[in-house]
Amino acid sequence: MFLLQLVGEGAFIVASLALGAKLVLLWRRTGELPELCIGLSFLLGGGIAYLAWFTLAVGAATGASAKLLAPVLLLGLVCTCLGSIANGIGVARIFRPGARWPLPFLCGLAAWMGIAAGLMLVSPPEMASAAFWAGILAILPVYGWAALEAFWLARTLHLRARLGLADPVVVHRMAQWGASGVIVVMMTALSFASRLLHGPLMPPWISALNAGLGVAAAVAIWLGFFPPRSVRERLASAYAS
Amino acid sequence: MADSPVFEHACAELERRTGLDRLAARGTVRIALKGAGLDVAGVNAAQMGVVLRRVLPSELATRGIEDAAAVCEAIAEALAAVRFEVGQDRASQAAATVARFGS
Repeated sequence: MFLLQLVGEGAFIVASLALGAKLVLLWRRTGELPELCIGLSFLLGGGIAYLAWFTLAVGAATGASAKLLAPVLLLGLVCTCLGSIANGIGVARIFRPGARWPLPFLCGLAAWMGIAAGLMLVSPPEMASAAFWAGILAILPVYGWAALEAFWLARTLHLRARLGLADPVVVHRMAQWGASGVIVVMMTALSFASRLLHGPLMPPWISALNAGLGVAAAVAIWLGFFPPRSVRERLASAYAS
Repeated sequence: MADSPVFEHACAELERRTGLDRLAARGTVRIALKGAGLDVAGVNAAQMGVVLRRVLPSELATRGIEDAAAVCEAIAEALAAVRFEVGQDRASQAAATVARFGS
């Protein structure tokens, strides 16, 4: 089971760190906010946060003390929350330029996350878990919104690409981005459901399912943002015909 | 949001050349644009040219317009001769940003 988790979460962590680093490097060249925000989102929310979750799972399985794991838990929560807010800012800039509603929406979520993290620090253990999950679940609207926007753009660009009015690789990238967002929502919801139903230790079948979702998210990120030449050529010929 | 001047121009030409009334002409072009993933507020001349040549003829044919392809070609040529100021629509802006993510 440990090996399965290592492969699943490891693939997602590597793909997220690679994409995050790529976008932050792109931002250093362009100075544009969307690549910085989406890059930080993948670096923090996908890479570092999942590394923290993986460390916690290993720690819990090997009987590490709660005191030892507490900073890792806090790091995971902070990175998850910061990553999702960065994602929201990037999505707002990319898909809703000029719209006003994302600002109060994201400020409200950030305030909620901040309160949750603060409560987690000062609460007794039985309350700290509730505060932790209150913070984690606040990312769901952001990733759900990002996925909807990505799928909307993928659909629109798909219609245009059939007439040669859009780049098939970008169509594909949007669909894969949407898919990775949906998978993150599923992984988070699955972990929360497991916590509610089975307590702190995840049953093996849920760990296996989460590992599978991690691999699927990694594949979506890789195909969307690092498409091999064969995929690009197949897309070009599919739309050309 | 106001309709694109390209849309207005294409509809007026279609109305003039086919005998469709204003409502029918605008509705037909709207349907063609929607099928191409475009909207009436942000369509530019190049996009409308493609829609006129590749989507609109079949829409007009189903409405009983004779020689629809020639009519559409004539409208596309008339459009190409006019200069329009149209900004990028939301999808095009987003696509341009996301295209950078692959570089």
